Amino acid sequence: MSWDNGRRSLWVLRPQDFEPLLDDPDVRLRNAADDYMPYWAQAWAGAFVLADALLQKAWPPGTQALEIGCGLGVTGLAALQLGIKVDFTDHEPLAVAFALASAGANGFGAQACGGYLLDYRWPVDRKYPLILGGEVLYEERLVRQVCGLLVQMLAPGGEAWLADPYRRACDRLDEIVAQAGMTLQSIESDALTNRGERVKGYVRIIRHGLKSGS
Amino acid sequence: MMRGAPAEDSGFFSIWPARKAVFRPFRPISNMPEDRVVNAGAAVFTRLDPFMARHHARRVRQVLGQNYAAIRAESPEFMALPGVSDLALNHLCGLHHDTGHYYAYIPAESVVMKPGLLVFLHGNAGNLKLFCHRWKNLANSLGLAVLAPTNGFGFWGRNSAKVIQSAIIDALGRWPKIDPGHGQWLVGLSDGGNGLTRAANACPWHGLVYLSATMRAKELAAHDFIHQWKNRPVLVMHGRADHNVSPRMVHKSIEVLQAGAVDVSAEWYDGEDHFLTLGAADAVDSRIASWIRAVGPDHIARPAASS
Repeated sequence: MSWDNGRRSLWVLRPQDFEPLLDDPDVRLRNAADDYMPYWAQAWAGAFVLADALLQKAWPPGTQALEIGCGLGVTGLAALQLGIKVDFTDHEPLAVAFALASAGANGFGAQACGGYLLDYRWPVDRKYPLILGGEVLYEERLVRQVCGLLVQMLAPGGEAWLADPYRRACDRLDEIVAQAGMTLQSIESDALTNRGERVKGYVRIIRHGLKSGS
Repeated sequence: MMRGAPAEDSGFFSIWPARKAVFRPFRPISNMPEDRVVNAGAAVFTRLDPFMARHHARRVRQVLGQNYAAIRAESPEFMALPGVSDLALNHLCGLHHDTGHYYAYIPAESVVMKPGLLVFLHGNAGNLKLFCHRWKNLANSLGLAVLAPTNGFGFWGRNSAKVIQSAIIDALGRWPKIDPGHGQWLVGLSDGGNGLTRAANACPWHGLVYLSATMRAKELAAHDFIHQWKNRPVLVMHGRADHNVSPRMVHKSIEVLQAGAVDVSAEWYDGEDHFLTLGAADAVDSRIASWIRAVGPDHIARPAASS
């Protein structure tokens, strides 16, 4: 599919059909274990909202970013177009593979991006000045998991940019972020999706230890 | 690329995610007005069924006629869309019927900004627009979007979870305003009850509603079901005069759920038959609404998966 927000456009590769994924024995096992669904195979509203928000800011060239729960990588691909270096991560190997393939299709190679498997519950020992997450907070349990990851992987002075289309799961985000010793700034934003529909939501900017606001 | 036939003014949609093309030899039936096909079918079958009492047969015809008249008056655009009755025949004939199709009702933003989700599983005779439309008032009052996935004739087997998950993933991508965090409910009518049992652990449902539904005590007693639904809410609604799904079997299933510490509420309707959902629609809606308000999303905690 292609996405064009009026200023920039990018190609996003995705599975032609997500239904066969539902037949995958591994997917069924993971679904039974923790309600896992192959959501990664769709492009979600929050990813477009965040991608559009990123495009509106000038970023220092070479900024290193981590995209968590990258799915098809819409947000990370937009970041690559701004000169940001991106590590695409997801707990689903196919998602990382698709995101990296899309990066290649848009002309970005290993110099600009990488990818690895990452489960929110088990952060790795690496720190990033910028962490991106388009629509990763769609269930309440994920809010605490993602905040835990940010505590571990956000570099001092760094920022995490997340986005969601006003998900109820984020109702207590402010409180949970504060408990984790971070601050939250929520900014209303909107974007056009690949279907040409305008979607609205919050861009959530999370920082270490600064004053909270919205 | 996906396509959907919308009837936006009414809030109803007939969605065909363009993933699979199946051979549809009976398609002309689906292009005929559903009310005429169903009313004509009911006129014949209710007179031929040797087990159906005359007053019952009359009532079935009357209820169907009244409901379709209401849909024609309220949502003519929805009624004008092609149906999926032919997929029921495909299923009966052993042909492929899994197209990923589903009906949806999406409340207007003036009614609710961020609707939760009610997934409805149809019974035998296929996915009729009649049933999706039937949930409109309840959906508006509770702030829910309705998805009614099509599963051929309505034999809900091992594919149940997949049919439901497929519709949910597509719908969440299509309508970002749907937020399962505001409630995610699964309702099964008649044989849809089998689908409900088999998909009970496929999504983080906030509750299950068996509506004049087939309930298999053996499947409900299985560890996977009981473990996952312990202390979680299940509502069973059944007519005491239901001749299609035996109240005795439903009683037995309720006992199984109670023994497993499932938070089951049972509602029995005197004199109501298998058409409870249409014949006593207001009473059914009122009970479901009060139950959902009582056991809503803040009330539920799902246990960890068994090892």
